[in-house]
Amino acid sequence: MIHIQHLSKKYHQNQVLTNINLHLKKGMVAGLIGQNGTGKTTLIKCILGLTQFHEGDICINGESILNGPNYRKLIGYMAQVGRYPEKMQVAQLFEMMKQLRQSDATDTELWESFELHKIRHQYLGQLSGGTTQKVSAALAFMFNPEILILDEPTAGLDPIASEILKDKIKKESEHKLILITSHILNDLDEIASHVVFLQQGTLLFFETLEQLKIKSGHQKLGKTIAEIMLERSAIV
Amino acid sequence: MTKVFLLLCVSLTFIFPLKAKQIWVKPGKGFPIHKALLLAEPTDTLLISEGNYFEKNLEITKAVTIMGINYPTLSGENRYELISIKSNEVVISGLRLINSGYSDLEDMAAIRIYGNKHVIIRNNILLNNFFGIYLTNASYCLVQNNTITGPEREQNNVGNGIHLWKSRHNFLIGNTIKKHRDGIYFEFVKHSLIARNYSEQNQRYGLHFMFSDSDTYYQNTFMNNGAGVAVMYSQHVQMLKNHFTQNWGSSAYGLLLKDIRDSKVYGNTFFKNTVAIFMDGCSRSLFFKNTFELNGYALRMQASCDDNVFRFNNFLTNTFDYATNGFTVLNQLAFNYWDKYQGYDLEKDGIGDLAFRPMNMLTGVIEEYPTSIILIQSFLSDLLNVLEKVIPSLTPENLKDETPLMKPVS
Amino acid sequence: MMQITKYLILNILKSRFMAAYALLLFLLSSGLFMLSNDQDKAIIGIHNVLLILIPLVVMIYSVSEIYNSTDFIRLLLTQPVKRKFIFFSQFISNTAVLLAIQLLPIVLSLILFSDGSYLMAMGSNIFFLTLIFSSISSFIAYKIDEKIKGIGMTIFLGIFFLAIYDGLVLLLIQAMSEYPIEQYGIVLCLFNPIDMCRILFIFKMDISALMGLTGAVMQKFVGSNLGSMIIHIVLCFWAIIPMSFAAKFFIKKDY
Repeated sequence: MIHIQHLSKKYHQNQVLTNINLHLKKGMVAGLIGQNGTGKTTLIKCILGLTQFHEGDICINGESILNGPNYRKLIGYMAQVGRYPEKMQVAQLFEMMKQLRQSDATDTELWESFELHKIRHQYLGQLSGGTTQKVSAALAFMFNPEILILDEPTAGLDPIASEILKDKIKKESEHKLILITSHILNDLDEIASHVVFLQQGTLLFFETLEQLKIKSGHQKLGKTIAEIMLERSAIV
Repeated sequence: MTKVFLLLCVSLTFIFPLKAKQIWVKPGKGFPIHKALLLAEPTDTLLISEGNYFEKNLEITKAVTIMGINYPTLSGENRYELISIKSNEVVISGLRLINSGYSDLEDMAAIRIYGNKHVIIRNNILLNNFFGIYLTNASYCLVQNNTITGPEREQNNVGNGIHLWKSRHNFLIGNTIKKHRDGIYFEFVKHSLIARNYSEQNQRYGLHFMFSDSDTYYQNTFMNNGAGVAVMYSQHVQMLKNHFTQNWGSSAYGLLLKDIRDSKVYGNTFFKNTVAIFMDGCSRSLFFKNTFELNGYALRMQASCDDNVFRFNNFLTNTFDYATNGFTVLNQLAFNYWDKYQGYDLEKDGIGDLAFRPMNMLTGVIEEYPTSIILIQSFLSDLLNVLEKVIPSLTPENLKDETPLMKPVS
Repeated sequence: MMQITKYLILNILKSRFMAAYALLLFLLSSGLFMLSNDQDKAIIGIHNVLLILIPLVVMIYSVSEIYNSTDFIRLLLTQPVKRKFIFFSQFISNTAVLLAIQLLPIVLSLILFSDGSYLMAMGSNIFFLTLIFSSISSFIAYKIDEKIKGIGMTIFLGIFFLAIYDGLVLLLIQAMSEYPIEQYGIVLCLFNPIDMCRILFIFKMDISALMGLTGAVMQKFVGSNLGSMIIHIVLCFWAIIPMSFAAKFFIKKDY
């Protein structure tokens, strides 16, 4: 579904991504991990078209994303920190999104389970961080997209909401491609099927969670990753 | 003896009542007025009936009165001078005079006086003439209540409304002059009174006089003339209570004074002129109690002016109150009201405690570099003016009214 | 595109600043009419105030509006909408609101307190100034990423066009005073939209008669069809060129 080929990206003089090759398919829940500032968010932004890249290409369902914005219909995106126009009401935001996508809300499960209808006349500027995240999550899933890109989805959510979201992700993963970044490795442990590890802008490895655990002999993703990181820094 | 003579005179007037007779003239073939003139004797009156007359040139050599009834029309057929007065004590009144001839060589007029005295021209309507009323070497003449309207032609083919040359002691009162080259034109005219005339829409000057000393202008209105009023090379001129209004254009002046001495400009109103008074080479003149309102420049003075005194004038909402191109100030400004004055009066004596500087920075800059007028009304010019108030640098140091009034002079 | 524009406009209209600004403009212009005993003087006064206010308000407002709506733009960018559409939605919504907010009170007070003879000239200047400075500010806002730097830049540019440029013109005139440069004064004005609008307006008022030889030369230029066409074309350039650069920057920009 997402096919990234030789992707490189520079910010001014900084090489942020170097020659990334990655092929993500339907049914995967890919956990994108790496230290702070290794280009996780940049990679996601490249896929979404928020950021321009200089070399390589990204194809979605075989078509380059440079050909136009229509591929974004296939993507549901939840930002790390969702920020919305302050003077807009929750309901208006959803309404506007429907109009932009020219489609109806087909998946209102999260809207209901987060009980967003209770706050639908509140202004987005007045919502707490967690509630804003709920709104973002509900929006990402609302149009039943084939690809979900979730940037730190559980950060700031209360435990109950966090569980709801994780359940939802698990449920949707069968017939979708889900790309998640998270610093909470335990969360990923529960839901991810694959791990994409970035370090200093390069793709270190892309393996299934099972393979990774077998290789390292640990049962917990956290420990595995910590070990890998230590190894790498020892080499460096 | 003298008493007897007087008695004789008085009794004679009773025995031989005035010999003067009236001659009625009606329109018809030939030249009816000419014929009547042949018959007439001095002091006779020709009564001209209503109608159209084509008399070519009418030369009056006898002291007759020509009086129109219901404005009979005399036409010059665009070829002739209508009435040439070559006798003293002629009276012309109630005529409608149209279409005088015009040429480049001769100054043809509707009525022209050739060096005579005591002529009265009154209540006539003049229309489409080259020159209107033309006085040469005339004296003690009265031109009163005539309405003089020029033709719709280019300036080269239009003469002046009332034109006086080398004349003395004449009276021009209550005439209305429009659409001529100069409304009233004086050259070498002395001791004359010009009062309550109305001069409008003339192509050049509403009033234009040169080398004409000791004349008095009183309560005239000069409005919307091509270049306003020009007064040049004269002395002892009195300009009292006139209105100079809406003389607007890039080379128009309310009043242009050039080489004027010992004159008085008193109680005049200058309203909406490009330059209310432009002065060049004027000296020893008094400017009292004039009101300058909504003019572009109220006073624009060349450095060649000296010893003029400005007092009790009102300066209201002019774009520039005062402009001069020199740095030495030889004129006196005192007790004027300036609406731009922002000082205070602690003693409550009606006189501001701080001096007022009527020339602002932009004016100074423009006088120095005329092209910089493209910055007029810009934010920068406001900035400069504020700056100039704090540190005067580009305007003459002693150009100021030390005793500005707090209230307008009424 | 219409949808986004609509949402953006509604969003801007909710701010109290806009209402306050409109009220201020109305009170200011009506006040000038009431204080001044002559209609023309009042109109010149209003126009002078607008020449200062519009560039500064339009630039500072639209630059900060663009910076403040970064999140919203980011949200829109993840949706299937072309960047070009998003750019124009933002540009049009900012410009249209500012235009309406400035035109309405001024036009209203002109209709109420004057004979309306300068309505067209005033309206046209408000239109061009708003468009041009909105265009310049989107150029700055998309080119410069830091908000403080961007706003600083707009304030500098505003002051530059208002005063510094004219100061340079003055210096130039002084330096060239030996030469007959009356004809070229107008050319200098073409490089400053504020000057151009001022000159256009001055020649509608009869103040131009004060301008002597320079004025006569310029009147000939501004008064002629060709001249006024050139000025209006240059004004359009002033609006279009920064806008097209801004669009280019926006389309290439990383969010």
